Amino acid sequence: MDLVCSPTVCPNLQLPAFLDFATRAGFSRVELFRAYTESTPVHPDLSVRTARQHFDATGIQLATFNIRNLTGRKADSDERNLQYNLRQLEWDIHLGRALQVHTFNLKGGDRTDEALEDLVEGVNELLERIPNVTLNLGNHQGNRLENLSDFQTIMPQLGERAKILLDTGHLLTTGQDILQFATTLAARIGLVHLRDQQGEKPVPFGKGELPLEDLLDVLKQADYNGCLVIELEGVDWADPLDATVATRQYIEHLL
Amino acid sequence: MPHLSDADKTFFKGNGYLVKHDALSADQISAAQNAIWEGLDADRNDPQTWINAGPRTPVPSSHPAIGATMQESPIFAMAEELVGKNQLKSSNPGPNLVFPCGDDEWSLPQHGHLDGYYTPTNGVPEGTVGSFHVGATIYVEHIEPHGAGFTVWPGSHKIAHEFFKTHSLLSIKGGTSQTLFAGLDNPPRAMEVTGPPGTVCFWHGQMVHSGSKNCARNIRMALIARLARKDLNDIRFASPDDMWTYWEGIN
Repeated sequence: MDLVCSPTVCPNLQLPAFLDFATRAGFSRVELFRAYTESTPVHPDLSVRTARQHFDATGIQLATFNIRNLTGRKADSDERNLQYNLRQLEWDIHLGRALQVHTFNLKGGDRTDEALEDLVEGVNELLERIPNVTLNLGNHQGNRLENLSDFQTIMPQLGERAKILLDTGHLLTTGQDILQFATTLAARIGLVHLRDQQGEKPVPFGKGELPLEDLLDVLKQADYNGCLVIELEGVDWADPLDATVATRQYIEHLL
Repeated sequence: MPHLSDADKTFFKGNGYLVKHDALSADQISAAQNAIWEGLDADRNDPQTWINAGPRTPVPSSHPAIGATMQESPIFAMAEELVGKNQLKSSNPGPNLVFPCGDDEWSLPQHGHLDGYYTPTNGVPEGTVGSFHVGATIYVEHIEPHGAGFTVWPGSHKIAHEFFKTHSLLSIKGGTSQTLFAGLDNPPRAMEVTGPPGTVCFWHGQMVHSGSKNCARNIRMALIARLARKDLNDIRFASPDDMWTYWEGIN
């Protein structure tokens, strides 16, 4: 299992500074977000060409890219329009492909039957249109994909290249049993976002409610050989770089 | 037998556009005009009713007479001579009309834009850019000076290419030329394309352009096609040193 640095620990850093941060923290892989963080590859002062130059210069690999959510709706009017939304996601995926990444993460829309229908149709349509990519569907509080039951409903309806993004932070936030979630869905897990929390508050790994060692055991038992993305957010217990280095070393010791 | 000369291609590379006349037969022009008039809320025999009439898109691009201007004329072949044989996806042009305004206070537009950028009403999904390689604006009516001719900013394709080497494709809100030309000592100057029916203006997909006010008698009957390479999804984010890398026809 490869460790990946998430920009959530330094959301205000633009891509070159984030890659420098990841290098100094000892990572060879990072993930990026389409939104939320300044390291987005659609930052106005960054082209795909310059982004690639930054990756090449640091030798860091983009392991995974978080694209927009598949809500089935137009962002500006909230009108239901799956094809409009799919064109947005398709554009994001081709942007990622230009950055040489083939693993994309997304979430669903509201917790409605309509959103579930659009998610199933949309994911299958994207997989059919774009070969050689994997789509990881992530759990998130309040999203159409929030709990074990949601994934048990949807995954059998999706093509094989649709996987699960297990996000420990959001499972802890919604008070779910992480080990049951991981054990039940192990065969379809494509990516893991690791965050330890006390309630909803991120804390240093080992200080919160995340059963990390047991989770890693479940993943090993399932022959999971994908990435573990270290998500530190709102670090107030140490310097962000020091906290990231310490977390990497802590998790490497457990692997 | 090629339709474009070496001089045509050199002109296109330098200026980002190319105007050719007599690209349509008389029958093709007449059929396209008839199709358009079928959808207009105006009396074909009474020019007074043409003023501020509508709609701007009176027939769909799928209308056989509209499609024929691209598929049964040399225009698609000409575009292929620029971009490369068998490299372009086929696409019908869509009608884009500008009606006479009824006054004569004409001036060149101050600003232009790049196509493919989101606005709340144009159908382009927010946070995407609808890229393409070559546009073709086809006149099926005589377009006189000040008659809402297609307006281009010659040379702006080179400025855009340099700009997007270091900026996100999304960095220009609405595709406006103001961002692109900001800080330039000698920004390109607008030029209106005029000509008889059967005139076609080819333009680079990153060419600043605009419509303009129609102070003439005729309705500006133009059909506009945006032609993209078949491998667009593999290259839409590429900004190579040589901007003609993906233009085998003229590279």
